[in-house]
Amino acid sequence: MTRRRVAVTGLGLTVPFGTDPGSVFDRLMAGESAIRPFTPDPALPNGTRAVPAVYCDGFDSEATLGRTTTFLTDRYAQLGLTAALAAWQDAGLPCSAPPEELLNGAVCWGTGLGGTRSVELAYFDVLQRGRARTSPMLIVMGMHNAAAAHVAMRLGLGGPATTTSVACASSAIAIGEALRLIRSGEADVVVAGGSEAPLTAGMLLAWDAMRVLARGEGDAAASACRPFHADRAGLVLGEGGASLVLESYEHAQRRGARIYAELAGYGASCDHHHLAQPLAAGQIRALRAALKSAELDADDVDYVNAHGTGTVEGDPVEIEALRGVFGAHAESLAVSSTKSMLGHMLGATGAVEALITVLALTRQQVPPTAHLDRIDPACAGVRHVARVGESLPLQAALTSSFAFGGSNAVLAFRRNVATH
Amino acid sequence: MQTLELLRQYLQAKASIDPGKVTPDAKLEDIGVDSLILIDLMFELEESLNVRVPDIDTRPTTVSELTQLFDSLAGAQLKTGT
Repeated sequence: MTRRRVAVTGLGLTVPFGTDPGSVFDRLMAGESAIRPFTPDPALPNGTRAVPAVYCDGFDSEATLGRTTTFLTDRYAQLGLTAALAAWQDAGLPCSAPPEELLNGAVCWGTGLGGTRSVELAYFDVLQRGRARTSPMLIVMGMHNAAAAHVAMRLGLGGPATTTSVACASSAIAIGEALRLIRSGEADVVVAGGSEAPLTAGMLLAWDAMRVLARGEGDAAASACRPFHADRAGLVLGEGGASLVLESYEHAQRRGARIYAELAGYGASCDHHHLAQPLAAGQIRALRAALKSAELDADDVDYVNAHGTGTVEGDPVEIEALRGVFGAHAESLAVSSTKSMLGHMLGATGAVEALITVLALTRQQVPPTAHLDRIDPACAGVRHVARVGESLPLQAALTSSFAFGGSNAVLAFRRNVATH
Repeated sequence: MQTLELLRQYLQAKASIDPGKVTPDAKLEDIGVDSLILIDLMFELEESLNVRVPDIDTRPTTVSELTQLFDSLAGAQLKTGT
């Protein structure tokens, strides 16, 4: 029996550049950064300046989701649900109200922090302002599976609705688990993706305390995140959401759906080494597992959308792993980190970058690592696509997500040959 | 009547429910107040009216049952001076 193939038929995202995947991709190709100075509300303690971050200040939850859903949800769920509904619509699937139940339609969502914003603001009210009680909605707003639940309710999906929380690999793993559901025949359609809203005072302070946040004031904020650069100085946090509608090829072809690309494989591993020091050997296991799952040889891969957060320690380890897996082919392997422009959206980042990788294959265009005008020798040995994007022939591409805790996830996508 | 006004304001602000539908005879379920929204609604009325609803066996099912519940609590508190 031949294995069921998985088609990507819908794309949706919520990032500062807007919600249209095509125009977001265009701005990334130009090397445009969405990173700007950010001041949280309530503010950081006195003396702490604005930090570079990626935030969706134009996002209007009430306008897209309605008032009732907005007051029942944390911002992470609002960003995610908006992306998921956009992906569903993009896939041309029916949005009737009330929806037709799709008994084996599933949701695989990822978030690192879930409704942390609502929880933090409630604790602030109680512990700092002396309020006696918290809203009874805090439980359903704070729970990590809220976004998945709202997606299933809105779209009438009656199969499993799961949420994976694996720090920065959360939504890459969610998409990988969606692949498994479709391959095994348990689901025909899965809404996969992830979302995160980590820009609270408490979260920013905690990340800053780890000494991994990049600095940059005023105009310098835009280039604060410089993956693979000789003078890179840390990561930039971001909020956002992204979603992919995944279907069995059979299901997609039967309804005449447009197929952007094939989700061809998924590999996961754990470094089993350290909470915050990545290890090339662990990443290599995930990369090789993804290639095997996709039935790809290393030489078949043309582009890797790297995890590339811009930290001093992390970036060289990732390039070491790529050199280890791709050998002589590494020199001609296009590599870029779009975090240079969209920041690190933690649990959402895997989904955002999977979406970008799909569009790269569809358009035969590789977005760049912005600001990369001086490559760190420790990050050399691959074909860095630097500063602005390039048009390149692409047959297969990977996207990597490596999490605190040592968990690694790699997704493999293949160009959809049926449409060419 | 003050409680009914608060109720209308709340339901319009949080759930976009038309104030005209919030009449004493209306069933809460029929105007879009499900069990989850009711819990939040009762919480907000407690905060606004500075009363506490004791553990109750039957939850209000109509607008008037809900307003009467809060009016009686507010009245009782006035009498005891708490």
